[in-house]
Parts: sequence; structure tokens; C-alpha cells
Amino acid sequence: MTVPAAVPAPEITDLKLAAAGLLVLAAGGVSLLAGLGLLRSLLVGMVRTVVQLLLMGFALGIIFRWNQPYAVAGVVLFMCLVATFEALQRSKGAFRPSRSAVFWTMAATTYTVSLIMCAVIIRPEPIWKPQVALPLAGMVLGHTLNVVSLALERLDSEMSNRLDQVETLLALGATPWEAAKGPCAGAVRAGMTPILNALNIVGLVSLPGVMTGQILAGADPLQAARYQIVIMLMLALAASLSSLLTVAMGYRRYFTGDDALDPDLRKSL
Amino acid sequence: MEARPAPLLEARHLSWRFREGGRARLDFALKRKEAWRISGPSGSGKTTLLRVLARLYPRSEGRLALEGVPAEGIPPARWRRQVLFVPQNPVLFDGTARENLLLPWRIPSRRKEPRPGDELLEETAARLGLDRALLERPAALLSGGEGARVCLARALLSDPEILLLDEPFAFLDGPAARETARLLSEWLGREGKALLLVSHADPPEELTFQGTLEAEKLLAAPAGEAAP
Repeated sequence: MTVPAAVPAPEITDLKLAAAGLLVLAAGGVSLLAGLGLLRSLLVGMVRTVVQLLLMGFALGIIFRWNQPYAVAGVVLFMCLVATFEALQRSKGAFRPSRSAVFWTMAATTYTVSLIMCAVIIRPEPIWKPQVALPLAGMVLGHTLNVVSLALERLDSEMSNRLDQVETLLALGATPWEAAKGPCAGAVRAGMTPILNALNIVGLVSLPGVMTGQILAGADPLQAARYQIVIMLMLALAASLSSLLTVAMGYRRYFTGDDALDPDLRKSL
Repeated sequence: MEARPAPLLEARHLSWRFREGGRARLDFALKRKEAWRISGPSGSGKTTLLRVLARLYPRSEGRLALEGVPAEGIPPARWRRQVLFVPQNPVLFDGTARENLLLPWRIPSRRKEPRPGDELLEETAARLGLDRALLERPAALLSGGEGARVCLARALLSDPEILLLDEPFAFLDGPAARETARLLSEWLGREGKALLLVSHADPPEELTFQGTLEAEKLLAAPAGEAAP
């Protein structure tokens, strides 16, 4: 069977972008008429999307031309810093982990998984090739941000809901880790749930991003599927790594230096 | 001259924060085979006092020692195995009542400790009115009183030196409360045991106390005021 030659996707001109924006404005109009109060959020979201993605496209163009490994590593570092800020914004609990703990979770996961993908699986030439490394790192980081946010939120609710059980285990001589194991397991499960669901329905309900992008760019669908399989498995690795790191670095904040539950946790109920 | 043995549990100028900006302070020595009652109105800090002694609530200043060894020299987990706090509301886990009784030995760091045999487990449970059939019931189906007795039996089987009990008779009717008090009195008669107990109402006469600590007097009290 012969594979048809790749046909590049039609170009997205400024006019086409404006037309897509008009559709959002139409949705905003409906929101205004129905009194949903979503118009402002929609407009802010639309403007941010346009500005951020165009800036990223512009910056990527420069990095691709520059073609230096430290530039690639630097951009990933910057993305990790932004993701850390975003994760802490989403986590409003009194026991949210320190900025450095969240940053190290993001950075360790993103660099490790991206490095494995580039150096072991995809193996572009050179292995830090920006056209491969940066989109992969971005995907891993975006996914990690969601995992970290979900795990932090669940850890907070599980610790509050199971406060008496945690204290009973402490009273019976458990260490903080042993006492908090149930809530920590719940948090890891919550962080892993989206990727576990995605692994089960991928290709049946939706065509995921990479596959869609490659098919739009004219790639062979089977090759696009192979890429997607690799990425899904790597995202599963990123989810397990980041959710484990999140609870490992986060659970201790619920305890005092004397291994008792922080009294503020009881007060916050 | 023979040195006097150190008290089992000793608190000297021990203070902790209680409520917004408030402070409580305790000077107290608990000797072997002693039982003390802690009394006071709701919200006077009785439960917090038990938590402080079990090192489940942070203390601010002062000395806390077990058999003369300062708290700082004993890891918290080991301290709590010796000074065991049982809260008022029963806290049970998934599984049967029997599995809940054996919970301490399911904690990884305690798995190597010798666990009570079936005979001791069933005898302790029976003394508290928990028969064999009940031990096989899921903990989620137990009544409040049954749950409280499972928690007390679990604490007794764990064999601490000091029991800190918060309202142990709250869920029990007259005869059950008296039998529980009798069992606690027998336990107290064993070598090196002591008991501190919070009770709103007068506890059954089967249990005799060396004295009473009045919780409200500990609030911002000068050193020594509440000392026995």
C-alpha cells in the first residue's frame, strides 16, 4: 500500500485568525444576553491566547535559528518558572508547598521525561534539536502543571477529611509518612486520573493534539499514531513522577517539627 | 542514699498556646499506678491538655519527661506508643472490628512488634462487651458505643505505659461504664501503668483517682498553681 505524499495544511492568515476571534465574540454576546457574566473572562482569555502564542511562535523562531543546547535548556527553565507560579496561584490552601518544592517537581519531571524522549526514544540529531525538544518539554510541562494542581488540591482535602484517622495513626505510634499514606495515595490517584482516563479513550473519543497536528501538517496517520503512543506513555510517566514528587514534598507541611498534626489544620475545618 | 525513681510522666513549667493569644501552663507529676481526672467546662482545654502530653499538640516552653527522660530525647512515635491518647469520638478504619483492634500492628514500623494473640484479643474485647460475632462485623456498621469500646480495647492491647482517655464513658450506659472502669482499674494495677482521664460527668466509682486537675485553672495560671 502506498502512502500518499504529505500535503501541507493551508496557511492561517491574519484574516482567518480574526474570523476565529469573531466566533469567540459571538459566544461572548450570547453570554452577555443570558447574563452569565463570562464576557470579560472570554475576552481576557482570547487576548492572552493570541498574545502568548504569537510571542511563543516568535521566540521559537529565534531559538530554532540560534540552535544552541543552552538556549533550549533556558527556555524550558523559564517555562518551569511560569508553571510554578501558575500552580501556586491555583493552590490556595494554607498548607500549599513552598515555591522551591513545586519548582523542583516541575523541573525534575520535565527535564527527566524530555531527556528520555529525546535521547532514548525519538533521538533527533542533535538530541537537543529545538524543533523536537521544546514542543515535547512544553507538552510534558503543561501536563505536569495539571497533575501537580490536582494532586495538591486532593492532598489538602484528604488531609482535612481524614484528619482524625491521621491523628489516630500518629497516636498509635505511626510516623507522619505512615499516618499520611492514605491521603497521599488519594492525591497520587487524583493526579494520575486524567492520564489514566486518556489512555483508555484515546483514539476512540478524540484525536489527541500531536496526532491532530501531524495529520494537519500532512504526515502519515500511522506514523502520527506512533508518535502519539510514545507521547501518551511519556505523559503517563510524567504524571506518576510529578504526583509522587508533589506528595513527597508536600505532605510534611501538615505536620509540626515534633511530628504532630499542625493545629491550624483542625482550625481550618 | 537511694535516689527516688523519676515520675512516670512529668511536666514542669510546661506551656502551650490555647485559643487566640491565650496560654495554658502545667506543673504536674504522674506516678506509677496513679489515675488523675481532668475536669472543666466545655472549651476549657481538657482535650488539648491530653494532646500536649501525647505530643500531638505543640508545646511552647517547659519540660516534659517520661521516666526522667526529656521528650527531646525520645522520638515522637516511640513516645506516643508509651503515652497513648484515645479521643472521645471513635476513629475506626475500613475493615472488621477485629482488624481495627490489630491496627497498631499494621503500621509498617510496628509490624515486627509482637502482636496480641487471639485469646488475649478476644478476652479484652469480651470484657468490654464485644463478643466474637461483633468482632467480625465491618467497623462501619458498629454503633457509637461499640466503636468507642473497640478504640479502648485497641489502646489496651497496644499496651502503653500511660493511657490518656478523653471521655471514655461518654458513649456507654451504666453497667457498661462500670465494667469498663473495673477493667481500667485492673489495668492500672499492673506494673508501671498510669492513667489520665477527661470526664465531664462523675466517672464510675470502680475507678479511684488520686486527684483532679481543673483545666480552667491551667489557663494563664502561674507556675505551680495546678501542681498536685
